[in-house]
Amino acid sequence: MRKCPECITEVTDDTHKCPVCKSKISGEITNRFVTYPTIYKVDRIRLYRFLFLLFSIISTIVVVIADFQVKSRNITIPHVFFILLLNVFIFNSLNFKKDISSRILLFDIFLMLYFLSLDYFVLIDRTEFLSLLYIAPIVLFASLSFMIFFSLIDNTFAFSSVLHILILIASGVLYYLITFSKSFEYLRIPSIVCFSLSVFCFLTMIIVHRKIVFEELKKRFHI
Amino acid sequence: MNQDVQSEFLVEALKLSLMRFPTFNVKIKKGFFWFYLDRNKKQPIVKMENNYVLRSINLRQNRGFLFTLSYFENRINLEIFHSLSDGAGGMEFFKSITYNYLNLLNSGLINDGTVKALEELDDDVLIKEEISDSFVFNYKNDVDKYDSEKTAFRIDEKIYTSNWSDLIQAEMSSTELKKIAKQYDATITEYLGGIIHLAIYNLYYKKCKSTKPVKLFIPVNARKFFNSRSIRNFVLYVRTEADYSEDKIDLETCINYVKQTFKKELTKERLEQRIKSNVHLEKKIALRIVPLFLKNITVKIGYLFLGTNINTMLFSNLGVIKMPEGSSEFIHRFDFCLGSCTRTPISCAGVSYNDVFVLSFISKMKDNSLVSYIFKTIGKEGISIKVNTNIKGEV
Repeated sequence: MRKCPECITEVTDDTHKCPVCKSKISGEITNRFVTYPTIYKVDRIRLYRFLFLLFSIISTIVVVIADFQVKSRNITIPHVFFILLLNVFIFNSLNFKKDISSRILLFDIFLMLYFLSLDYFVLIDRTEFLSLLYIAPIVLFASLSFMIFFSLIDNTFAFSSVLHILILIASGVLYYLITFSKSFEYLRIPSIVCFSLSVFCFLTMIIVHRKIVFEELKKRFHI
Repeated sequence: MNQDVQSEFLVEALKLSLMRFPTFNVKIKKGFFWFYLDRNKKQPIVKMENNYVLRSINLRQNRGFLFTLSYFENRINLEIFHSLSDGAGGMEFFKSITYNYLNLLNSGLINDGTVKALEELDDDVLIKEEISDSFVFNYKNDVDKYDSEKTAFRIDEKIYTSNWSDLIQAEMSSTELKKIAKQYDATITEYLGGIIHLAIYNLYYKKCKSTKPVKLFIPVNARKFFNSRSIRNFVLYVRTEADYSEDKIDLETCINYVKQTFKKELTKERLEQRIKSNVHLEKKIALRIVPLFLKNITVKIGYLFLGTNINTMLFSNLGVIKMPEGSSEFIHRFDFCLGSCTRTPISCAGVSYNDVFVLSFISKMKDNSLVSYIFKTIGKEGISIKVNTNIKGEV
């Protein structure tokens, strides 16, 4: 047994400092039953945060220089915007306590914001937004297929995915309502097909897993 | 333990215990109005211990489980999120894991009723009681609410900025400790509570001449008072208060502060008032229909201003742990620790097994003179103590 020379505390583990008075102790360890592992700091998140900040800054600078070099300044803002969003997305994914569907949802939002900014800054004819007419329904359908695919290979039905899909579908419906109220001209066949398929998949999923959905709704909205 | 832990057996033991304790086999989910616990279908894991004790649980790494089971050499650790259970309930779960682990190692232990057995799962009444919320069950609307509490004296010390906490443990004989406590006509809890009050007075209170009282937060196992068999959280508490108004402040005076509070507060009526204070908001329909995100904001603000301001320090004595006969051949001792935070930077907890009493301090303070004072006071009474820590010298 080792004794602290200052406060005469009997110390049983392999510490180098007296836990009571913090003076230095030495001697042979006789009782190994109460030792603790050696310190190692787990503070990876700070490191990730720093790395992504660095990556964001460097990639933004590189894109701005490249765009100026090829004289396509119009595209610079969407590019910078996209890189920043992508970094936020990657960082958020690393920091996650989230499941795959929430990550897909977040990615969709960032992707659509990028295409919208691209439309806004690059297109000359701003009456026809490509992102909304073509890309949004395709993204919606692709995301939905991904979510269903992941829930199938994981062999679990994640209710949170349903909520995320619901958000996607709702935003799709909202878009169609706005477009429909203006003119039929803005409706395009590929987008209508994609959107209809998305709604069909969603409803099928709900019907197939209706028991789980109702149970989960009961739990989630329990007062 | 008396031998090194074999992780593969520990995982199996954990799986068996989770079958017996379904309230631990859960994950937390967000509802629209409340968080709720749902069955966790994933396989539990055990991991190597890190000497950063009592950090927040990384749910993703932990597969959603609200407890972590870790091991290092011959020690098994269980850290539990308080929403699952309190110290007593958690210890039942831990005892079950230890018992199952020893049985998987062919220790030949026979359960004499000290550990909750898997066969009890067939007893529907027992299981229903174990998973019931005793706070709601014992809530009475016609009792008075507990009086609002004043802000407590705060120990003002430099604290670690990282999430590091010092863990300092003292091992002593429970028979000797009991004998000394009896000399003051007190229980072990009252005696140790008195020592803590004296230490705070001599080291901090005397110097800053505060008018705020020193309040020691002591959890109380409410199961004994309400005949509850619930495994879920059912802990109430008393706050021993000392304003040090007497001319002479010595150990006896401080023990008397604790004894008086215990006498006044440890009655069924007072505890029912505590239950009402805890539960009455939950019962109000107007508050229940408030969406979760608003509840979260309100609770966080409330905790910031009131949460820990009414405690100076935390102290809990879990009592004597009973294991099946012959366990002492495999188990050397049990430890029990409570978390601390920046506002209540030190906590103390004790537990006894097989005549070994272990007093554990979790401290965020860089200076350990409070712990030192307490150990010296115990030492002066003639009790020999052996100390161990997670401090390796680098901090």
